[in-house]
Amino acid sequence: MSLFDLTRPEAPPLAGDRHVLSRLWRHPSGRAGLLAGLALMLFALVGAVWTPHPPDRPDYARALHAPSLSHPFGTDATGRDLLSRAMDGAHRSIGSALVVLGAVFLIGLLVGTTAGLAGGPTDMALMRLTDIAMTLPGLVLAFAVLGLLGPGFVNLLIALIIADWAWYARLARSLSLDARQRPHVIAARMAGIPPWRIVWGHILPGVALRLGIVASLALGGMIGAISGFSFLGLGVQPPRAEWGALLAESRLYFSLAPWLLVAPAGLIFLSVLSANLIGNALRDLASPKEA
Amino acid sequence: MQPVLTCKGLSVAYATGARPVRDISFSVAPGECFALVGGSGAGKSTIARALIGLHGRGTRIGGELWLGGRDMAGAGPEAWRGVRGRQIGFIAQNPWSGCDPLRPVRDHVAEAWRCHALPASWTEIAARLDRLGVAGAATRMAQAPHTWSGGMLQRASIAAAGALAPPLVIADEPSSALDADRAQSVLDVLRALGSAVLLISHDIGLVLRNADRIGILHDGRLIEQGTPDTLRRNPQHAQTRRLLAALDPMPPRRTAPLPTPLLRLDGISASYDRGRVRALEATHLGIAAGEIVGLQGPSGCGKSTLLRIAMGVERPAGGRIWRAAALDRPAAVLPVFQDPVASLVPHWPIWRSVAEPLSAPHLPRLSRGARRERALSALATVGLHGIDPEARPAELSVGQCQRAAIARATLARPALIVADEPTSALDGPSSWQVGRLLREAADAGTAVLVVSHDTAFLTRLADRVIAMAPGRTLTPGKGARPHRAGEPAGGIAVGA
Repeated sequence: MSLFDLTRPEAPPLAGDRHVLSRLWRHPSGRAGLLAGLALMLFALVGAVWTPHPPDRPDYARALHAPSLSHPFGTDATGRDLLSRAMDGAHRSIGSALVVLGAVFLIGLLVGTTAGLAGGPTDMALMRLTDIAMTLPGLVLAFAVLGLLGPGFVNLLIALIIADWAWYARLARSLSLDARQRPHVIAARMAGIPPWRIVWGHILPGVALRLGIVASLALGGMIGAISGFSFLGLGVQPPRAEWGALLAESRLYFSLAPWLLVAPAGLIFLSVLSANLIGNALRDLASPKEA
Repeated sequence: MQPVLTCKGLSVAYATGARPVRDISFSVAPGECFALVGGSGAGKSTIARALIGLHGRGTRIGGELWLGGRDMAGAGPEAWRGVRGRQIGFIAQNPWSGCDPLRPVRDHVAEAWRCHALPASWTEIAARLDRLGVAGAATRMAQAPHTWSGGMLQRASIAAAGALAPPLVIADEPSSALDADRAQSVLDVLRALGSAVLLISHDIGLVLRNADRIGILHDGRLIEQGTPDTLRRNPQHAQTRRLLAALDPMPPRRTAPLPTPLLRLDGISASYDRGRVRALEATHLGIAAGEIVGLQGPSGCGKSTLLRIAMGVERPAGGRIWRAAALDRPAAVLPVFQDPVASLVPHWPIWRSVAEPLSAPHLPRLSRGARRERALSALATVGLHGIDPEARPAELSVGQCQRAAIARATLARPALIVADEPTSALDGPSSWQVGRLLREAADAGTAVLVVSHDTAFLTRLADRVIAMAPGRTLTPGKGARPHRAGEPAGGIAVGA
């Protein structure tokens, strides 16, 4: 009821409807994000098993065709169908971002809550480790790891995980430090509930939810980063398709065949947008409850 | 004369379809003080937001909202900006949260002119603050907000709200962050502005003393309107009677002697920051089974420290603690907190939070169904049989959460309940219920230690009230009985 509360957007009650997905669906930007995300998922799933043309087989007779009914996105310099390549690359672009974020989420949650709840020397050791990881800029660290392991898709994912986990660990630590001070945790402790059950029932779900929101907001950036590394030739190796790599190839023929740019750029844009819309909606839904 | 504000069939609908305010009609005459009173969840703040045009995007205002000869119900942000300050002043609950801590107080007052592109003069601001009773306004107004007291800073926000002499000032709980004496003086200053006042409050006592007319809000509707006299003499609606009942005294205090001492703290001292900050000095506190002891005092006097020592979660620097054997079993001391919503697990259904103490390993194992049964009956004893046991805390009102928290504390049958400001987040009727529940727990043999800044509440509830102040010998508060022989150490002495 303070002025601060008054100027904050209203937090409508969420009674009777507790499932995250159905609440996301009722949130305007959440629904838009879910629709776009579902369409992309479908696109990626279909692309993983079936494409209208073989994605990797060149057909020099059809090089650099403009969009048509048989090639809706056109063909590239070696006559490969761009729609097929975009479909084939979708699961690599989206799936790899999910894998990286899932991994940094889990590592961060484990390291951060362990440090925050154990305290003392454990906290000290784990946090100095994250400090070291955080002093190196993420991009530089990723390049260094790729330099050691050599270019390649799996190596790229490992490099990104190494570059990013420390931020999540830091956040999870401060969230769990905050959570252990909460009145409901103190009440449980005084009621004689054993520590592991407090951690499992009271602390981890709240920390995981908030960390998950941050991770979902980072999904867009991660797809962009993976595409960026592939664009530089450090990720997916030819002839494999990936959106960033497609973008890199299309750059060479930009003056001859500008349509080559549209499909990969549009798909990257759409997936970043969808992830950000869902992340924003999650944050809206979580903040009035968690405030 | 034409009213300064007229609402006809005003309703507010959120984007989700919820309608927290329905079909409200009232008007405020020039110079009049009209009060809207209701419990938590009655729609008070929603109305306040709608009346100053701060309802969020997507929230729809229905009906008519006449301000200065203009229907503002569908007005856009631009129109509202022209009205705020000129037609309506606004005073918020907490003066500190309305101020930027990095800018001096005078800047916040000057903002009232500047936002309408009018020149603001320091001498004029100082003169106005002076008239509202701020001593040494000319020098003090150059200081940062946190160096001002709540009462003084609330005067500064009154000066800002009345800067352009708006015909109407809306005050949303203007005094709930202040103690009782200052609350009244702030309301006096507010009336002295000469504008009509729309006072929004949960405090029926305060409103009866100050308003010319009162509207009772319940569940988003205006159920009754009248002058303080007619409402007091002849309340029509059950909810009005409930609000008025909160003015009545608590159930009678215990008069029988209490033979079983439970906890005694003798000459306790505590300090922080490696001894640099003294939190407690030579403090005594005793409590017996079935007794309610109230602790009262200004912030910083060591109430919370003493409470934590009594709970056994903090060790004192010096002094002796005697604990009865009853306190040595697990879960012998259970807390009730100031923030009721945060004291329940946010992602659990309410019954599970209430039942949690039953699942402690020192108790016999109960099946999930049995624990749920026990939680439901505990919820029923605190008057919550009507709620959905699967609801999450955020879906309940603050008062309901506090009752659930007390249900949880009593379910485990502790020897001592420690309550830190259990009613500061609650409205009148809810505080009254919480007081009754604590009394029932005490009657069942549990000792209750309550910290509160609400003197009236403590006086009515506690068997003994102990006043604490830093660096002074303390006197028992108003409702306290004289120290009886044979009673475990009563009264507190702090410092010398």
